Amino acid sequence: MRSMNTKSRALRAGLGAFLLVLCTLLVCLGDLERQVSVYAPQKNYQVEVQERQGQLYFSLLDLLQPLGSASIHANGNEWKLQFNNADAVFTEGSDKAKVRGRTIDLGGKTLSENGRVLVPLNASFALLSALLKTPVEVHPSARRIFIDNAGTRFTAELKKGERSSLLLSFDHPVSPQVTHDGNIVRLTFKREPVLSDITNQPLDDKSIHSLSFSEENGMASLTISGASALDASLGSDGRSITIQSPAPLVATAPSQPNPQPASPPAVENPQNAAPATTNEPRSSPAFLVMIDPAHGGDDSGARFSDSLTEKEITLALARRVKAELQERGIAARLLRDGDTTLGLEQRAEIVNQQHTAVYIALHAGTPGRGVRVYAPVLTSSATPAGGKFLPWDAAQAPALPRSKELAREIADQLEKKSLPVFSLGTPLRPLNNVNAPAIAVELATDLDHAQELMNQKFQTTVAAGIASAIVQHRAEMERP
Amino acid sequence: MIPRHLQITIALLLAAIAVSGFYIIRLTHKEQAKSLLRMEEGPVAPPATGAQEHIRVLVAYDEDRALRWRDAVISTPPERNVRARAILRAVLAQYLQSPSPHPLGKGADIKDVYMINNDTAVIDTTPQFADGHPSGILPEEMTLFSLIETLSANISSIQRVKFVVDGQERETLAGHADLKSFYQTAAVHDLAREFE
Repeated sequence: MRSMNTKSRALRAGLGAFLLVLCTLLVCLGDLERQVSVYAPQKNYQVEVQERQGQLYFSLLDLLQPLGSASIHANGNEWKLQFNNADAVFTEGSDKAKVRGRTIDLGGKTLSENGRVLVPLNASFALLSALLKTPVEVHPSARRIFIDNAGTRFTAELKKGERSSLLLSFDHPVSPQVTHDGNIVRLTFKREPVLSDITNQPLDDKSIHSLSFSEENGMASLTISGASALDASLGSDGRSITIQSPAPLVATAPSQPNPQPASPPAVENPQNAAPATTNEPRSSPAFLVMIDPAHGGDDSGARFSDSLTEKEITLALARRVKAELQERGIAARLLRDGDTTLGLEQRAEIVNQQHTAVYIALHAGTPGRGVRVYAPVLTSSATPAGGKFLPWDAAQAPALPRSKELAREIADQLEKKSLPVFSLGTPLRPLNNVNAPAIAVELATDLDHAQELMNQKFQTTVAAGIASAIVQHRAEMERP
Repeated sequence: MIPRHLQITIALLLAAIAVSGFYIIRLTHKEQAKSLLRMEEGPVAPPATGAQEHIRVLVAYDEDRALRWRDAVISTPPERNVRARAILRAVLAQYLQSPSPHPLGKGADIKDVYMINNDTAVIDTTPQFADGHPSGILPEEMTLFSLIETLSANISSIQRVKFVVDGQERETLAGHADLKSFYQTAAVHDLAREFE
């Protein structure tokens, strides 16, 4: 009887311990679901995010302390932040903050809980850009923040053969978690700032079918699918990973002559080109959108105030357009992702070399309010003489009808979002030097309202409109 | 031994000399800067003389983002290039008045117009025309379109127009409008109509 009681007590204690471990695991998993990854040159780290008032919030100090010396002091309902040599003021219940003397729209109210200041996750880009004064890239849906161009890129090389292999070479050592699921192998990068312009890249091989890149919940994943289960092996220096089909256990029978007739060679079309067997992320995906934040570096563009220039507005908008496009599964690149000087001819050269499907130049200027959408107009005396070569000033000529169509689609989408839109023609460079559909979008303002151009909500609305129009444009281009 | 009161007087005199010297140098610099500014803002070529001619000029209005035709009177000189310059100056005169429908920087002017084969005009502007121009696609293009349209409306043989700044080629007017290409007046005519 005593032994029965002892057994039952032991069983209950065991069950209790199991439940405790299970609860801890669930709490840990719950926390994992709500984190934002921050990648900076000095440190990669995760910050917990919590849902408040229907949106995600993070603790200001948790975000900033790993990046420098940060302290915050309360003064009534105002919180004064000192971060390195910058200062900022947050007011509890207000959706605005003052950073380095400039008002920033946080997109949600500032909250305080147990001496911690919580700000909306959506404000991370504006906040970090203003505080750090370095390039910041935020992938909102994936909850990943890249500071000062922190990012690990990779190239992928497919070696065809009896045992085809895919060699992934990274520019920094990586240590992914490898999981197998049938014919799929998945590499999950929890701490590494792995970036790629690939979304889904089909591979022209019998045993390795595709490579896709995705990012979510502060992590990045590479998924490789094949005809059968695939092996993944990490190189000794941590910078390379080889994906290969397992070695056959028995020798294969000699190949029989193929009864199928040989298929005709594919006709090369730059817009729908078959994927290359050697895939390198810096090479162009089939449909690549090149976003050009106009000006940069020595060229500030229009100056709206002592602290606000056109180059800053265009870069912020370009990053939002890129994020909106990527969310819609469209590969997009920025011509500059920092304060870099680029000449107009240099911009056109890069765009043409990348075999871009769409080129969008972003501008901001006075006068007026709303958005101006410009389609290119050839005003130069250089005229296409026919044949293979085009004059530089008329490189746009073959793409002109599609550029006009795209401009109209963008104007329509922006109008649907209740924005005042003006459609115009322009001989603006480098549109006429680009050999793909090319348009310019300009955020218009009066000098008194220039700060509104940095408004996150306004920029996101414009970016979403542009992205929706490009999705529609791609569908029309791909229609047989 | 020099008496103390004399020492103080000499010291005060020296200080006064130093202060007035410094003041005179500053005054001289100020006057030099003023005269230089007057020189830069002043006309770079004598006004055209000749019979009075009524012309039409296309004027940009920033407030409603429009280009509108207006009448103007110029003195018509016999030389084609001087007449072309007088026509363009009639447009700039609209912009340089106060209040201006489309403000340009102080000292914005046309230095010269070079006519090539009767159908091409190369407009040479002062550096202030470009350096002081408001930056933006719309204001820059409205300036160029109004000048090109006015020129081609009054000298019908002109088919192509190019701008240079102080005799040098520039990439853009103030960061946006193209100054490298030759503009075809027919194409500009279509563009300008979007603003009318």
